[in-house]
Amino acid sequence: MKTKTKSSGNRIKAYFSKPANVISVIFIVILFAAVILPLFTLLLGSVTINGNQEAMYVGGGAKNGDFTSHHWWELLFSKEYDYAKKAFWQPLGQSALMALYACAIAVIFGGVVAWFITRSDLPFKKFISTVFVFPYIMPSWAMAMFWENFFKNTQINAGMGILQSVTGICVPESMVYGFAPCAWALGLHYAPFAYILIGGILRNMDANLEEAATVLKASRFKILRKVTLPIVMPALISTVLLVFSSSISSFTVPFFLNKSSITSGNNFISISVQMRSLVNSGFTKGQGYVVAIVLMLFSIIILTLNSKVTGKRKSFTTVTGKSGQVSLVKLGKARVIVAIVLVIIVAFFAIMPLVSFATESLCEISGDWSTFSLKYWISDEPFEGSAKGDTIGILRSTILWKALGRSVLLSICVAFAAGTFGLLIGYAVAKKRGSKLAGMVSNIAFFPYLIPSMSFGAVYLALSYTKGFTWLDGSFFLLLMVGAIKFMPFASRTGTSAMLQLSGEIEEAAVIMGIPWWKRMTKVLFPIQKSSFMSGYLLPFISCMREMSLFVLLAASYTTLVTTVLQEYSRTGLNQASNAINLLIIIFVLVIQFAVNKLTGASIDKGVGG
Amino acid sequence: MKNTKKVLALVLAFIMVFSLAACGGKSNNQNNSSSAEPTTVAEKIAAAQKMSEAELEAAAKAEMEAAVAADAKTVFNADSLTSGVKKVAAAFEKKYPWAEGKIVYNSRKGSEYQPVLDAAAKADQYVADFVMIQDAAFLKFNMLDAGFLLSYTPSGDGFKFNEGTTNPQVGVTFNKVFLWNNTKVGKDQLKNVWQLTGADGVSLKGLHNASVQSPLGEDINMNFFIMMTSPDAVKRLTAAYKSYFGKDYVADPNYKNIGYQFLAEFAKNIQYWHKSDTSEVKALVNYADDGRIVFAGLAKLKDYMGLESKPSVADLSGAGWNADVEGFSGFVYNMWTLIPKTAKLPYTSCLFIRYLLSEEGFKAGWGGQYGYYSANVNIKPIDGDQPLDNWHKTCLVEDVDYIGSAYSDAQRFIKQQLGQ
Repeated sequence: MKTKTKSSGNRIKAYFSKPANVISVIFIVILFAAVILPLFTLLLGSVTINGNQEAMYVGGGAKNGDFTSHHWWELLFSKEYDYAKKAFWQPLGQSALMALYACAIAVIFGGVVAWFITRSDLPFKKFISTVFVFPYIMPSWAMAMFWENFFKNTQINAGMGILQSVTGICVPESMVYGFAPCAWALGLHYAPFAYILIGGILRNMDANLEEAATVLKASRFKILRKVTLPIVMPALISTVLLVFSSSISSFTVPFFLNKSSITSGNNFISISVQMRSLVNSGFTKGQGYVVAIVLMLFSIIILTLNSKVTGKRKSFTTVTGKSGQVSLVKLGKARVIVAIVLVIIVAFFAIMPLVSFATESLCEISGDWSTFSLKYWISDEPFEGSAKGDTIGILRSTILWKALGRSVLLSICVAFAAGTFGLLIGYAVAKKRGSKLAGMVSNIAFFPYLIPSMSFGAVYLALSYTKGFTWLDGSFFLLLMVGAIKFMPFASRTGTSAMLQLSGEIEEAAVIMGIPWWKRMTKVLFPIQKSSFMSGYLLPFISCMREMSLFVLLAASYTTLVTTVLQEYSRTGLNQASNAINLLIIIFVLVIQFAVNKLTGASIDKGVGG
Repeated sequence: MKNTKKVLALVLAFIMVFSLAACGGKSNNQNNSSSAEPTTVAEKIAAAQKMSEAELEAAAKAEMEAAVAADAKTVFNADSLTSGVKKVAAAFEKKYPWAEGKIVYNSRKGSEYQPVLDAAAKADQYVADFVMIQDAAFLKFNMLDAGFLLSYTPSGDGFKFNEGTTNPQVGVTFNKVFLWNNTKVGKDQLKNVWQLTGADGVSLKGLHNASVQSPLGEDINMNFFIMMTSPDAVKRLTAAYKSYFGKDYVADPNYKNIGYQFLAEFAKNIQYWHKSDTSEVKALVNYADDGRIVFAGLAKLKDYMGLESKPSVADLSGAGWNADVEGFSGFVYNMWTLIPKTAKLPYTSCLFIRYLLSEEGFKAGWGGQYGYYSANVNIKPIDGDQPLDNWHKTCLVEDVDYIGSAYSDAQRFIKQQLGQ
């Protein structure tokens, strides 16, 4: 008996002597507490009556808190007024298709640019690489706004857009509003994301693999199909997963680009718009939760596929420590033409929206230069409708600068926490690849991404009102905690992709030398995949800087963060000031990125090889 | 025997403890009932209701001083969607110097604020000292029925309220109407609400240039759409139908009533789904050619007037404002001023509401602007605007009971129409 206890004690000791096991266990506990709680709340909300308003809606004597299948039944099967079809199935189908198109656009555009930057002798790499990430730094609706400003025309009674005023061309309404523009706006917004993930892998890929294929006289297409694509497959699937999840639940883009009339045929109501409408109404909150769960199920299916791919693959390790040489494909005569085309496209979609932000902040009426004014930038007089002098020119507003300071501090803390968590999770998953625990950690770490931001925030809001946790209410720590968990999926995906590329031999060599784990991480593994890991820090930073929905319920006041100030300006009709703040946020993030680049030599674009 | 003694001792001890506890309880109750000092927020509001302004100010001042002495960081939190409250707060601090620097305005958008109120109500926790909210159904079913938000109505010479606007106390009333640039299309472009379905009438033509914010993204518009199916709307639409088409309305079996039919035809004929009333009202300067009819708050005219270079406001027409429209001119809805039962400074809350509903307070927050109407009927709207009573006659008025009972059916119908 004693021997048995001793042996199981030894087994536990041996188990916990491996850092990957310790990390897995710690994170499974943290993630269960931090992720399962909101998830459970969401599930519970979909099968209970949420408040007296909903009880009235459901009828039949239902009371607040009662269990009910009404929300599921009504949304999925109700035939009255074609309710299930019009409010759920039709928007869901269209949104899924839109998300797939957005994935295709993002992966093709981002992937092609990443390949040219990392694997070819293309000129102007630095410029393309730097500028290409701009659309991702902007909020997604910025691209939607730019799309409309560019393509709108007088033939569809939408006012004169840039294209019409320059060329006189009037595009059809289906190119300005509705399904296709939504897919394009989202695809272009997430293309840099694909570029970052795929580019990171391509840059670190051992060139010998492609060279070996060339020596064996494999065609370019065959090399791409048999060597390059399988290597970038994990990053590709991660990209598809993240872009699909983000696109299908994107609210602002479909809301912004759906100005068409019902009879035009270009009226597109996405499932996220339906979800927001359901959740915002006290009568139909439960139905909104049903939509959120269904959207999560979609992503879980892709997540499962992702796990199967990364779980099955045996030896796609590409960073072996044996070769750091990268041989670039020579583009020959096409070199300059490709470069010029890419520079024009990239500059168009990356810089023009910034220009439109700037112009919007300078005109009282959008596009009307006779109403030019600098007051939203530099005036020290309060704007119309403001009081207490807080809505003065943004460059003079102490409230804004303080909020910006807090946002930066929060984003740095969130990036540090999420990035480090992601790196550790990536290590544990890579080391324990194929084990159930690793799969579980990897999958649960992705869940926060699937839970709608508002619902996520609402759960933590309720927690902060619970006895014993009231100290969290309105605190910086609450924002940090929620941000770190919500943005961890970016870092964990990046971390896992990067760690999976690393050959086990590298760490094994360090182990043989008796180097402790933390030193192996900081002195061996991190430096090798620095660019990928830095992306894992930078992505949460960028996301946190421009996040609004997640923090809006939790911030102590609207002056807490720069995005809550922005929302307040936008809400009170000060669109010029909100455009100015948007521009300020983007410029600030770019400055931070530049500073990181100067200090550490790493940045998102540098990471990809520009 | 020994055991019997033990049992007896235990029973006696239990009786003694029970009696003492009972005595203690009685004693407490006696203290409470004999005390004149109200303790709960509800009691303090009831007491405030009987106080003069001077007495209320004295109570509020004493309350604030005591709270600050106990915790120097104490502030009075005023949560609201409307920035008018921010201006009221600034003016309140000027009028009552003892409150200077202590009034904090928190901007709270309705759909984002409801989870906060829900969470606070469930946990019975402090959330604010003053709340001004807009969603009538949420207020009635989730807050008032749960007893979390309480109402205070000021009294005295300067205050007069219509029936139905107190308990819960209405603070400010708003309206949304159809606005257009009349420089080319004329002041009378829209004369009958049936024109908005696009169908031609006997002497008037159907219009195809309405711009509305989607009810899927704007709760007020969802309530407006639902109210189109109400008995009051049915009456108005039937009369307007006869006037427009020159014949009596014959019920269509495809629709539950004329309101449903109007809603369906109106929704299909909306040409633009705008995203922001504010931006669209500002853009009215550009809509001279097509005379776009923008459904937006009349109060948004302040944004139009805020433009540095703009045509005169006389170049704009508004249903019910300076153009008569048969059927209905728009939608009227309220914002209520309430006090959470967990408020820390309830006397200050009452004084704040009293100030907000006074002429001085209302003018500080919303004075000199179209489209804002105090619940205190002694306060008149600005010159050029209509009195609230007129708006009630010409517009559909938000009826929380009807919305509550019709929501299930009407929102399904609305989504069916929007999804086509």
